[in-house]
Amino acid sequence: MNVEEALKEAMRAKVGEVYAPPSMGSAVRRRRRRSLVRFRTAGAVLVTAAVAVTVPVVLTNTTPQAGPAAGASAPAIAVPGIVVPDVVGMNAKQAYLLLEQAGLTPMLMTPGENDKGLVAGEKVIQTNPEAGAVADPKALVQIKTPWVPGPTASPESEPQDGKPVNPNLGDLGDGLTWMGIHVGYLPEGVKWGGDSYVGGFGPKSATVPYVTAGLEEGMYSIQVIVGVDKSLLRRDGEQVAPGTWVSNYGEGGEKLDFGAGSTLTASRDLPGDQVVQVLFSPDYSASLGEERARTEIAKVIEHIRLEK
Amino acid sequence: MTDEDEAAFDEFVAARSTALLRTAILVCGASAHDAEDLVQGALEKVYRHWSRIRADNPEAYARKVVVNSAITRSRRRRVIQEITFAAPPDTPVEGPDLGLREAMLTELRKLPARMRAVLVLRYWEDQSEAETAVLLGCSVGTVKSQAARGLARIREAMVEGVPA
Repeated sequence: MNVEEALKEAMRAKVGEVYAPPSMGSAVRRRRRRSLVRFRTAGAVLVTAAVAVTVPVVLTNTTPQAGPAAGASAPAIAVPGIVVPDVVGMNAKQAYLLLEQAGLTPMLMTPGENDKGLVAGEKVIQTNPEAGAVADPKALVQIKTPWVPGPTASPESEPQDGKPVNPNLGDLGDGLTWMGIHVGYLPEGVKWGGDSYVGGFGPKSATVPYVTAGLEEGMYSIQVIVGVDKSLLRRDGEQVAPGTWVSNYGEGGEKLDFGAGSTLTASRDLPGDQVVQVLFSPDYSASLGEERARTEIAKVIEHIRLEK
Repeated sequence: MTDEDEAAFDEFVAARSTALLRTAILVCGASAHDAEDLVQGALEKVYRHWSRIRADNPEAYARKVVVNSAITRSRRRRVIQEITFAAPPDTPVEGPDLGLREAMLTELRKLPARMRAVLVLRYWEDQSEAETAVLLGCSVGTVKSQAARGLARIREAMVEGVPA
């Protein structure tokens, strides 16, 4: 196997079992709704209804089969194309995988939720084209799952504005005091971005991003991480104070020079079992310049103290 | 947008979002959850311009938005990677193939974002050099050189096998 094939195989192993949730379309609309758009499910419902009309209720019992169908179950004449496997009754993800492996383009047709609290069920009830039909390679095959009652929505997990909420620290006020620490200094123009995340860096960990004005949603300028995982403490940088180190790291955690593609990072051993790490995003670091960025990050981490 | 536009957008999302999600994961090295957020953001941009682009290869437009967003996020937001490195898996690799695969993926994650995107588009999405160049807004020569350098790094990882 050459390197290209091996790489493709490795990538397939990494993401081959990953599927977008059926609710992706409605999630996109929810995000949009916050700024301007009227929310509507009519489009999705219409498409689903069309499938229901065009697909026979009882589908043939063709054996699932991958690949071109020239020699498939019973055709008397070789037909260029792919026999659509029978996936009715299967879990939607399994069906998706099977159709994809067969060389077809599967489509999950039931949207993830509607305004009556119904969500997409897991079992496939119909496909279009139906099982046994011969389709062109990469042809679309619609998979329909039924509406089922959704779980009772938790107001904490799905707030009214539609923005999903991860486990977080809640309202932090000015965002400077959390998880037993106080961030005593931030450079001018940097403030709490309103987000926080719990548990991403091992037990007893949390992280809070701080942003500058005009930053795109989801980005950070400065990020502070607190945890008890000692791997957060990078001692391989320049020691700028007792128990405090600063360096630049790449996406793989390797040390790099200052500049695009590296993240300026300071880490410090706090009294007790906690470790704190401060990151300056590459964009923010670049806006300050290397010398100032290093001075500022040292100042930020120096002014983090345990909150009594 | 008209009802027909809305229905066509739903159809498009249903057909293409999994492929876009997989590409996003590979390009930005994120978890599925983070990549989902990224793909949602990219699809929102597609949705915003849907009436205009739906007749003109919306898939290419969506892929371009996803790949460029993934590159941007990968550069700006090391949090995603930090989670990976701060909390390594408890279970060691089970065999030489899995170890080799993991070594290759680790090397892939270490590549600069744009070089990684070239490899993902060329060898995962099977895009041609010319298509990859258009998606990334660079020359075919750049795609060739980035792919060659990226593959060389991956090849080294294959030769070395599982890192100690």
